[in-house]
Parts: sequence; structure tokens; C-alpha cells
Amino acid sequence: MSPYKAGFGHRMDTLFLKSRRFQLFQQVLGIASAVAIILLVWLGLWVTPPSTTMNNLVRLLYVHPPVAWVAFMAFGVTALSGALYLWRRTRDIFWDRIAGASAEIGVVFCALTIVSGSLWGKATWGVWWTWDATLTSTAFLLVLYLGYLALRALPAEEGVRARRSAVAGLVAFLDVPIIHFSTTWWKTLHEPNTLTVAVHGSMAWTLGLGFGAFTMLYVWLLLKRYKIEVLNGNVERVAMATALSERKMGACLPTVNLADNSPIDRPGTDRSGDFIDSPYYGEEDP
Amino acid sequence: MINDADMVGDVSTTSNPQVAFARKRHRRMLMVLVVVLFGMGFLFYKGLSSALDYYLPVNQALLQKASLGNSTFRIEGAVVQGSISRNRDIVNFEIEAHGAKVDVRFEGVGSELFKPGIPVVLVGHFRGNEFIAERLMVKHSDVYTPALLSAVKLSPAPFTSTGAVLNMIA
Repeated sequence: MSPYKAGFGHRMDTLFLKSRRFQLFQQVLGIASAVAIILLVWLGLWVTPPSTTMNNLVRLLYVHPPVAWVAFMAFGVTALSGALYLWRRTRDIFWDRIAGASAEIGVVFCALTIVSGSLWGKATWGVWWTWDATLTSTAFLLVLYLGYLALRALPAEEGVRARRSAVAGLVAFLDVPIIHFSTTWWKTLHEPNTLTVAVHGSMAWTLGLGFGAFTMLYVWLLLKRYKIEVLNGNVERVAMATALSERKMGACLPTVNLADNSPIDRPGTDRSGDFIDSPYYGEEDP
Repeated sequence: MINDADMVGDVSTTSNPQVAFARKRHRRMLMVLVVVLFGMGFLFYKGLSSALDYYLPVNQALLQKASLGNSTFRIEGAVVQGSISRNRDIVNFEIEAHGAKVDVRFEGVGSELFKPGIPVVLVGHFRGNEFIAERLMVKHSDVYTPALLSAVKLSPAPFTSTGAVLNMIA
């Protein structure tokens, strides 16, 4: 039985694809995040002051923690959507698609966290990388969700894949609190990554804007990615139906015109009558 | 020519191109999963061997000095004020943690944040009473104070109004 019910998910798809107001909301969100990021660059590079000890290197503060936050939030959404899929009362393929879309964005932001952290680390600590608890568990998180995406890519029946990845997404999320508390549980080179960092004045406002800007960007990307997923599904269904009917039709037609022996152009075949979309195309007939 | 493989519908035959394609993809993804599992294993090993006991503060390192011997480990402490002396590429300084101090000899490129008072993590080993550092890492705190505010000797509360700060910058 297909887990796709003509209920919540179907309404969401209609909203995502058809609602004018929703399109407008998406556009406004996209523009708002672009403006916020431009504003962040201006505030971060020109308006905010250099800090004690870090001097101008402090400016990475407006990028690295917000990017890391988005990665953790994205994985949180994946875990939550997985839980909602697993719970029978809210089970809908919508949640599985949101989970997958969010994990993809999360992986990108997790990689960006590591890259920005590495740049910051080289400049301030003096090393690109070190095996302390925070860094190691963050690298672990990236690998975990790469594994999650690989698991999703395994061909399986829709419901099986959804259940499987929901469990994997929930298990992988256990690493996020470990990263968060790593600086208090163990000795690390990484500074305490509490969200209440002691930041002052305009620096605090800029940091706040950073969190807002990247969160908006995340939501915008999530909505876009979900839409692509739905459209992909539609394209696949249409393509499958078309290919099937073409095959059936093509296979029924004769390959040559019996009157003058000239080849007949069958849909989906080349001149010699071989089906061009076949994986065996170009190989000798057994 | 027309053969059975051209007809989609019977998915049980192995000659079906779609099934063959799915199998190929399945095998490739399984390979990716194996690589990912190896990655996780490696990181888990790294986490257990290095990350959980990342450094020893000076006081603990001195207590374990006999058992540490010549082995390489990470030591942590704050650079003692006025202890830094440079001799060509070699930097000598003292680090301190919880009242315990140790002399350090470091040869190499450190961080540009290196200065008296800053906490550092050093990779190296004891030689006599000296710690020979091969690598120096600066451990900075999570407190970010505008340079100008500290220059005028103000200690502002976190999240002061933007206006006040902008006035001070101007």
C-alpha cells in the first residue's frame, strides 16, 4: 500500500505548486534573505569594530556560528520530520520529502561550517584542523548525514525508504547534542559553543542578523528543494507512462515497410530499429 | 528486431533493462555506504583516541611528568606575562595553569594572536624541566569585545544598544 494519501501531503503539494500567495511568500523570502546577507556583509566588514585579541579576524563570527546553527537546525528538521513520518497519525510522504530536502541543505551547511571553521582556526588557533572533541564530532556529523543521503539514494519502495531514512535521520541527530556539549564535557581547543556567546553592541546585532539571514536562506532553499522533489516525481511518472506507451506502441509496429523494404521510424528507436533508451543500446544482440 | 526485452511489463526477467539498471545503482550506493561506514569508524577511533582527552593543563602534566616521559602530548596553559623571549626562530616562554608553571621552548610559526596572557595548547614533550613544543595553538575564549571599547576602559554589558556603540566608534 502506498503511504501517499490524498490528505495533508497532497494539500501541501497543491499549496507549493499552485498557490499564488505562496509563490509570493517564497519570492519575498528569497529577496529578504538576499538583502539580509548583503546587509550582513556590510555590517560585518565595515560597520562593526575589530575586537580585542582577535582584531579583524573576529569578522568570521558573523558567518561561522550562524552557518553551524543552520546545519544543526536542518538536521533537527530532518529528525523531526522523520519522527512525524514514523508516527502513524501524521504519517505522510510529505514528511519524508521534507526530511530528505532538509538533510541535503544540512550537509551543505555542515561542510560550510567545517570550511569556515577551518579558515578561522588557521588564522586564530594557528592550525587548519585538530582532533578535538568538537571538531571530530562535527566531522562525524557530516559523515553521518552523507551516509543518510546515500541510504536515501538506494532504490527502494517509497514507504520502505521513508521508514528506513526516518530511523537513520533520528539516530544521526544524536550527534548534534554531543557537539553542542562537547566543549563542556571534554577539554577542547574550540571555544564554548553556547548560543549566549558574550558579544557586545553592534557585534551582537550583526551576529543576530547573521542567524536571521542564514535561517531565512535555509527556509527558502527548503521550499525550493521540496518543490523540485515534487516536480521530479511528476516528471518521473509522466516519463514512465510515456516511455511505457511508446514501447508498447513501437513494439507492435513492423520495423520495415513491407512494400519497399524501407525502415519505418518507430518511436524511441534509431534507424536500425534498436531502442535508444535501452542500457544495452549499441551492444550486439545475444 | 522485436524481442522480449523490448517489452516492459515483465519485471521478473533478469534481462529487463530497468531491473539491471536498478541493480547497478544498488551496488554503487552500497559501495558508497561502505565508504561512509569506514569514515565513521575512522572518526570514532579518532574521537576515542584523541578528542576525549585533548590536552593536559600544566598542573596535571607536571603531576604525570614521570609517566609521560618523552612521549608527545598536548599541554595547556596561559602565557605568563613578561616571560616571552625570542632568539632568532626560537621562542622561549612560560605557561601557567592553576598555579603550576613550566618553561617552554618553541621553534616554528605560531598564530598571530600569540601574546602574553593568552591561553595556548602546545604539542610536544618534556626534556628535563623544559617543554619542547613542536606546534603552538592559541585557544581563545568565547568573549568578543570591541577593541575601541576596551581602549577607553569600559566594560560594557552584553547586548548594549547599537546607538551607544556606534557613538563610540564614531
